Amino acid sequence: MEVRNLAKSYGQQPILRNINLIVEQGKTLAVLGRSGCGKTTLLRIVAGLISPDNGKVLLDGKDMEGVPTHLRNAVYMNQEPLLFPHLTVRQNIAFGLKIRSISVQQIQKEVSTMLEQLGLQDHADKWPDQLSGGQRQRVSFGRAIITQPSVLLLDEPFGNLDTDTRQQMQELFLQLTRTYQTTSLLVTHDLKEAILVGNETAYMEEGELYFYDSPAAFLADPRTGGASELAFWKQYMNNNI
Amino acid sequence: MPRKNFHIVLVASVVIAVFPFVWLPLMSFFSDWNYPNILPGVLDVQQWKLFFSGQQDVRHSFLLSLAIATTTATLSTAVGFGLARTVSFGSRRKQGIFWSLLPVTISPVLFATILAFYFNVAGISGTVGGVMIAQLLIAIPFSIIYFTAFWTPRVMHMEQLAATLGSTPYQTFTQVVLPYARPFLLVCFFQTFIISWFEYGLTSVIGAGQVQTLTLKVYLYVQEASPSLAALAATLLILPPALLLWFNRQYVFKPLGV
Repeated sequence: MEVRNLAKSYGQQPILRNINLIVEQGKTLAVLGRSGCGKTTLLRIVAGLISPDNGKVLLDGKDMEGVPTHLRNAVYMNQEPLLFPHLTVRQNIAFGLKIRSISVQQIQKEVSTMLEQLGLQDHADKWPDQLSGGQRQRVSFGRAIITQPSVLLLDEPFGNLDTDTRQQMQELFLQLTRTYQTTSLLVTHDLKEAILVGNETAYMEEGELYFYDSPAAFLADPRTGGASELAFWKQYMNNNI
Repeated sequence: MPRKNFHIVLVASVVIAVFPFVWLPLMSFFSDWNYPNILPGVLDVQQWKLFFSGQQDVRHSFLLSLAIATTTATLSTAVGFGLARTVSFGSRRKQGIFWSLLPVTISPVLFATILAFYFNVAGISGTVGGVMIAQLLIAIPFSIIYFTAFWTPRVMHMEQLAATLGSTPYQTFTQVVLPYARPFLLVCFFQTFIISWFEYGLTSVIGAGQVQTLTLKVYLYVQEASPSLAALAATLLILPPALLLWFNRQYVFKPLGV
């Protein structure tokens, strides 16, 4: 996945300024940034939900200009799992395959495998409102990854989860993206999450994207808040333990 | 309130609510109830026989009302569903809701009088089509207002998610939006059916005496002092809403756990 010279403004307010990025096949780029820095706009442009003022988005080497959302093969997920309430867990996961007119046997096989990987075999015939927040998010991941998207766009997907569930979901995400070799662009405002799930990390501020050679460089940049966080815990340990 | 009084009020309320549903059908089986008799005369099935044999205006009015209400409800539900999406997701949501509310806020008599002028000019006064259009002018705004509560950002996000999963706009509509909206659509159909079914003012002004719906017939029979015919028409009047109420309870609210 590649983005070239992407720019977007709302009225006189620039949201994205000349963004360039490349995410290699099967890798995850984690973008850290504060609310309102343009992270969501970047994802929505890649998904084709909004148009850029300037620049290009390339998926699998193809220019996406003029390509409608449903033909891009770029799945967008946000904080809310947004499971379809009239479909069971199994049907939700099968949704993307069913609309591609894949054979019923193939769908059943792939969904069963996915349910196993998600650890939701016993919940396959439950309705979304019978699941916990973490289980819903699992289904949401399964539903997205089973379609083998060119890129998975994640807009703070773990933001609504408690600490333990969040950690479990981060591990599941890593496991699934490795298994299915899914290319992902994840935006978050959680420093730890960016380091844990990203093969590469970047920081976004006022519509500009900054890349780092290593996690150490990412942490050392005062803008990411990594250095001050480390200093806080160091001082805390010294004073209290 | 003391417990005993509460029970009296409760029983009285139930009796008042249930009374028309018992008394009106019963009345439709009486004929020959003339002044100054306190009680109705003969108990027979004469009116119903005439109704089923089609030798009575009431059957025509019943079928006409059914056709008008079904068409009005279907059209207003479908059109309102679509227009409400445009209003809700458009940049001028407030203006959209304002204009949709306008026909509902104007007095029905005033609204009918204004419409009557234009309908006369268009030559559709006194026609079934004219009555239907007039009723749609009330039912569609109601439907738009109703569905603006359905078209929330959550639904928009679901549509967008389905699109990113590879769903075409048609697939999204048929496989995501419609099944999700099913209970809302049924309730709106029910409500707009009721609006049309019991509509009196607009129908009498625009219908100009040429379009005799069942609601109009009930008033006509009351004015004519034909109690058994009025009771028969009134019984038929409450039949479809009662059936729809049962249907809604069985197939809409029960599955939702309400």
